[in-house]
Amino acid sequence: MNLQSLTLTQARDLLDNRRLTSRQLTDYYLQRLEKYDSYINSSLLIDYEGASRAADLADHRLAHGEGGGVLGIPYIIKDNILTKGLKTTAGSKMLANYVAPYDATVVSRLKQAGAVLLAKANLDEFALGSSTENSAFGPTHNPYNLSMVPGGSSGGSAAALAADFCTFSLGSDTGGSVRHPASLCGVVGYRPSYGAISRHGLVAMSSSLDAIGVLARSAVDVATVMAIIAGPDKYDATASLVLEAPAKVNPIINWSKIKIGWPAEYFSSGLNSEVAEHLINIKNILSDKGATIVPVNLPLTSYGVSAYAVINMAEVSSNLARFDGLRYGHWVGGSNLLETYLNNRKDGFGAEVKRRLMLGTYFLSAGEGESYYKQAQTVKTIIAREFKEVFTQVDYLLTPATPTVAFPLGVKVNDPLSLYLEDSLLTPASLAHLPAVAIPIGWNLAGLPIGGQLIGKRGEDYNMLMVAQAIQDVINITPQLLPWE
Amino acid sequence: MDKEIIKKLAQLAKLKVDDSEVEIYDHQLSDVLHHLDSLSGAIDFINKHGIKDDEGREANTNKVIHSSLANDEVENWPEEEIAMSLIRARQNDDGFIIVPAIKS
Repeated sequence: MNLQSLTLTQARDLLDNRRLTSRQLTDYYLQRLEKYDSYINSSLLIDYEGASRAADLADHRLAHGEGGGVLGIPYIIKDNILTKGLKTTAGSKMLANYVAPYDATVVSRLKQAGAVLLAKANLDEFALGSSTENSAFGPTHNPYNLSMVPGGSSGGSAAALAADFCTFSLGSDTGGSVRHPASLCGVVGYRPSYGAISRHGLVAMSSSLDAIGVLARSAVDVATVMAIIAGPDKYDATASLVLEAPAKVNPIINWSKIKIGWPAEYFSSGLNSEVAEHLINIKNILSDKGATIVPVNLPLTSYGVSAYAVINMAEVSSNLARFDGLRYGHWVGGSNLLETYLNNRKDGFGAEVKRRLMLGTYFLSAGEGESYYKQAQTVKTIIAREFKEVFTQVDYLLTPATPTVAFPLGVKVNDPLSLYLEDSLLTPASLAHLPAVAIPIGWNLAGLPIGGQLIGKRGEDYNMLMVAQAIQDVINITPQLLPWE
Repeated sequence: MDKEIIKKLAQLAKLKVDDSEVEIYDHQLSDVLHHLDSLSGAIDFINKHGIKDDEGREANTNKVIHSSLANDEVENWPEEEIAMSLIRARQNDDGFIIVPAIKS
């Protein structure tokens, strides 16, 4: 049986109809990870024993008449999400040997639903980055061209999915860290409405913006995973948004009832021409199908990435203050307490973390620095207001996900500003706490994936995912071969 | 941003940086700050168009933020409370409370 690039929906059908066992599917992925991950470096830890055990347990449940959801479905999770008994490094030397004493809520929900955890995915250190080059454990490579970045910070999660190492994966998205790598790796990457998924057990980075997101081969697959992991959680007071899951996932859309906004500010001069052409082509296809395309304006869009950077760094400097090596984490020591802090943090953190800690400290200090923070909070408020107004005219917004396709490893690693700008089209939805999904919309001439982004109204995540699936069905892009197979 | 500020920020963030790193950070952080200066353009736009937030307040930075943050005023712990705490501690030495060592 050809198991290549199975969607969750296809795997579900095979498992429920006893044409495939979870153990067979799990072994297929474990063998691929073993054989090929040395090219990609998508995963920091592969849990061969745990995955086999979980697959056997799922097969037992399937044999006793259970089915549906994610039962028996293998997945990979970003290594900043806690897994009891397994290392959670956050891609940092600081936590290189940290073993979590409890499962994150998303992990315990998936475990209960019978999903099979295969591996912990590589990431930019503490999820700070847009290329997965900032990992203390080496960069992840783009499966479609090994000399290119996979995007970030959930680059391992996206690359593992694109390399056919799992059926779905989880990442975290603060300013675009799920959607960015999804776009560069040609998979679907979804950021939920803020508060829809519990962050209990996610290593905190920027708490007013952090969200756990889902990556899969189709938007319907994302919705299936969402139905398991979303919902209030007594361990996370911010997880208060209740989404109405549809009784049946149905991506059949009456396009004549759909109004799609086309925001001019997302198509500025910095946009790669191939990305722009693909988006315009999709706009025309949807218009031909009967959708109403409405030109709209979101004037503060170009300031989103700056506002995001300031808020992010301020919160990073606060959240990462806890990593001093005393109770857990990297230890160097010193002759007194201050020297111990300094030595542990100097040796435990990488360059990007240090840059953000210093700038964040600056933005939270009295005087000149704090004016950036005040301005950023104001811009955040007004960006949210702009979206609110636009969503009185349209149902969804269609935009590019990233200004360019994947870029070569190494070219931006010492230029933090150019990496921050990679998220320029993704940060506005994050600031406004809106759901957004990156979907693959085609390939450039060099064979690299191009991603589009659909942004929805807060709380209307499932409707947005159904429209995203309908777009995927309409454009039906041809898969590309992986060059290293 | 200059080298002295970089050193001060590193100290506040409990980071040790040597002189060669200060040189690199000075360049990189100044680049980032220069870009972030564009935020003032957004504020000009907001003020020019009289844009208000959802509660109908003027989206003026100082008004929005100062209404929600407390002033940063450092207050020292009263001497008599420090003395009392040291007396109550199981062990103390030179103004510090001695606690059991953390065993790895």
